[in-house]
Amino acid sequence: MRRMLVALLVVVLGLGGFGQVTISFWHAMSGALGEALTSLVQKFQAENPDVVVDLVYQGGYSALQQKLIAAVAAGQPPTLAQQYENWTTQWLDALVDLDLFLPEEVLADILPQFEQIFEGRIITVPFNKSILVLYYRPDLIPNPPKTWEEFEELVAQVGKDEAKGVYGTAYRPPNPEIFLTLLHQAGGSILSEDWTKVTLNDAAGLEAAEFAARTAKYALVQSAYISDAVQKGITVAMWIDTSAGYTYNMNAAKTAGVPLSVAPVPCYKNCASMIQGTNLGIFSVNQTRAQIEAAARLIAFLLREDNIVYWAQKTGYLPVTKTAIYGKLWQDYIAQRPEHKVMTDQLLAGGFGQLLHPKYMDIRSLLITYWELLLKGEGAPKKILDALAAEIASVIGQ
Amino acid sequence: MIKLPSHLRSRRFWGETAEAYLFLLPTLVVLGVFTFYPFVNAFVYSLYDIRTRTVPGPVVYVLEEGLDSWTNLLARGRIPEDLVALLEKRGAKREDLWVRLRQSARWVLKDEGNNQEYILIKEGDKLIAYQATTQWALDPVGWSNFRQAFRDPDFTKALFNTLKYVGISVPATLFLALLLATLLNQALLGRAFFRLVNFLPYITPVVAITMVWQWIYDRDLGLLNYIVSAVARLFGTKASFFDWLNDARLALPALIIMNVWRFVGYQALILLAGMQGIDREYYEAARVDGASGWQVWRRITIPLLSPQIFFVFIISMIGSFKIFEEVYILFMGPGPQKSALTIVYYVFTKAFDSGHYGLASAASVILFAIIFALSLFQLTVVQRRVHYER
Repeated sequence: MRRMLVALLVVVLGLGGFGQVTISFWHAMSGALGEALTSLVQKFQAENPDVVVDLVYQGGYSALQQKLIAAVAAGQPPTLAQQYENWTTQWLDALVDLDLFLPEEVLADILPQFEQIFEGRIITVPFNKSILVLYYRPDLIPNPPKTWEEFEELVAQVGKDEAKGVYGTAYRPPNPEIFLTLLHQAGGSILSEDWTKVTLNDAAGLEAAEFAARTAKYALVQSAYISDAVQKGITVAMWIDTSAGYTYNMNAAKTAGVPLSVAPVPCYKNCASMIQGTNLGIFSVNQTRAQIEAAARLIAFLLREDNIVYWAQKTGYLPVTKTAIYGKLWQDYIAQRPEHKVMTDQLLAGGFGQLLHPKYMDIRSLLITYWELLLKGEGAPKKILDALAAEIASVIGQ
Repeated sequence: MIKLPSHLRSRRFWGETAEAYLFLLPTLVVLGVFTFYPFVNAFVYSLYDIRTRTVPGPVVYVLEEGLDSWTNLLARGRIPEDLVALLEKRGAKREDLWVRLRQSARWVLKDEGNNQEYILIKEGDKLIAYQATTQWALDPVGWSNFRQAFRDPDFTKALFNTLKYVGISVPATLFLALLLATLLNQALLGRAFFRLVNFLPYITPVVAITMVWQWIYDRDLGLLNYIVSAVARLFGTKASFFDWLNDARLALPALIIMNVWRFVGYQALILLAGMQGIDREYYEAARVDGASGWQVWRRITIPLLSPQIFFVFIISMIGSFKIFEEVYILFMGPGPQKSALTIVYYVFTKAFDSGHYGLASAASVILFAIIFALSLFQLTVVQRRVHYER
């Protein structure tokens, strides 16, 4: 009897799964972000009963990256995965050309700030994108700074008192994107336009480095997130941080019982601000066409206006398409939420993305090394920049 | 005819040998797959530049006619009729063929039914179809990975940090373990309890231990800085804050302190077992001769304990060279200004952050060579000074 029941169960389950295609989706979204992604995927499955999405949380970004590298090397990558631009450059061959599988209007709707062309191919689309903004304590800084000059003045005013735990600002060595923002604002860049020369140590680069070094004297410099320090009751008057940290920073301030607000990053020659966050790409290795088509449907679903706005509201990430960011849903939302309006304006005013150089992975790790030296005052800014430029030159020359 | 020694001729000998190997088999299989195979491969990979890509294999077809229209079709993800016809002759079905990806003047065509891939490359005015064979690309590069490692300032830093770590933590742990074992060897109240307490750090998972020490070392809320400031207050001076986890000068000491604490109990237990194995008669004879406590410890305990000391020394040295998890968790990176970057951490980031498998393998081979040379030195030179009680 029991054997018959088991057989029946197998048949029923088998029939139930007939005609279904299963795709795997690896991500690094924890907490509230993970919940929002799960509910979006559930909605997709309700609309597409023929697709089963195996949503796998892989831990933080570095764990996801390490697992993807190993999976691609083993020829067993997932169907769909979140990935940073500098990871993508390592496995260009393993990814599908999205223009073959996504409707043209979906790709055309993506905001130009997020456009990604790798060696002439479109292989990823933006998904969870954030931008650097200024978090500040309105009780200490009633009028957030609009220029570098004002920023520097205010930082010096608050000063630094380690015993009391008071700092004018804060910087994280693992986050060289702040330096890149300063560099862009000063009119500089890492490489020349044709990628043949390192331009990071020219006059503009030096201005950025010197500004960072001067303000770092009053800064809390730590590898851990700034929200960790805020939560412990440390006073940081203002700091530049990603909009994706919004919920974390706000919760930390709430725990510490201090007010916190958001303003655009102070500007210099322009108001550039670096975009961070990952994109979605479909792996072609070891996948059937049906799996790739199903993954493309999921991407198109995630880039639909209602879903983008839901995702942005739940997470603090920014809408990535024109339809969504200018649409009524988002505009009504930010009319009620000045902080999200700041982030949106910041993106439209000066959002710029990662350098899509195949060696950016190595370049970024050099940036981290020298950004830390700069923040800790280990040598003159000019000397640090020149050493960094020399190392980048040898990396791109290889 | 060669005559085998008598014990090799008995059936029982061969039966027992076969049985023994049968029992060893599971271990050998597991070790073979997860230890020996990767071990040998690391040597091989260290001589190659390894990348993952689809590599063109043997040429399947050369297509010459109407190239422009074909490239246009392929660029849009469609497969030209002529190509479909050619592939159908090879047993492909039309509905199973699709363009998997394209890259500049190169396309990968997939035959899903036969699970076959073709790489189409435009060369001059011809379109050549290759059979795609593998995703691994291994180019032999000789010793270049080793040269690159020694030229990489990160590697030399990792090497230096690791040597510093081993050079300080191994003797320090051994010395403290020796003192602790001597104490535990006395008849003191609650001896069993203290032995258990000392062993606890060793059996606690390293992840849990490191998380706790992360708190102990915290600049603002940490136990260590709390004690420092309390002591400072006691003397009426201003406390200075030690930023153990963010200060490049303190990161390696922090790592050493944690691991000395972690291993001292375990080593003490091994040494204690050795001490208790020493024949009481030696001590009684020494007492009759009027030897002081220090003389007894120095002249009897230490020499007779030398096999255990030697064992603990070698094991902890090898283990210390392989330090990785503690760094990974304690600093969530290689530490401030890479001051806690160790060789294994370097290997890990080179392989799994930047995909330089060849370089990572070369670095691990260098680490192996260092450990091997030092172990050899200890087994030949140092062991001569070890007393084995007969």
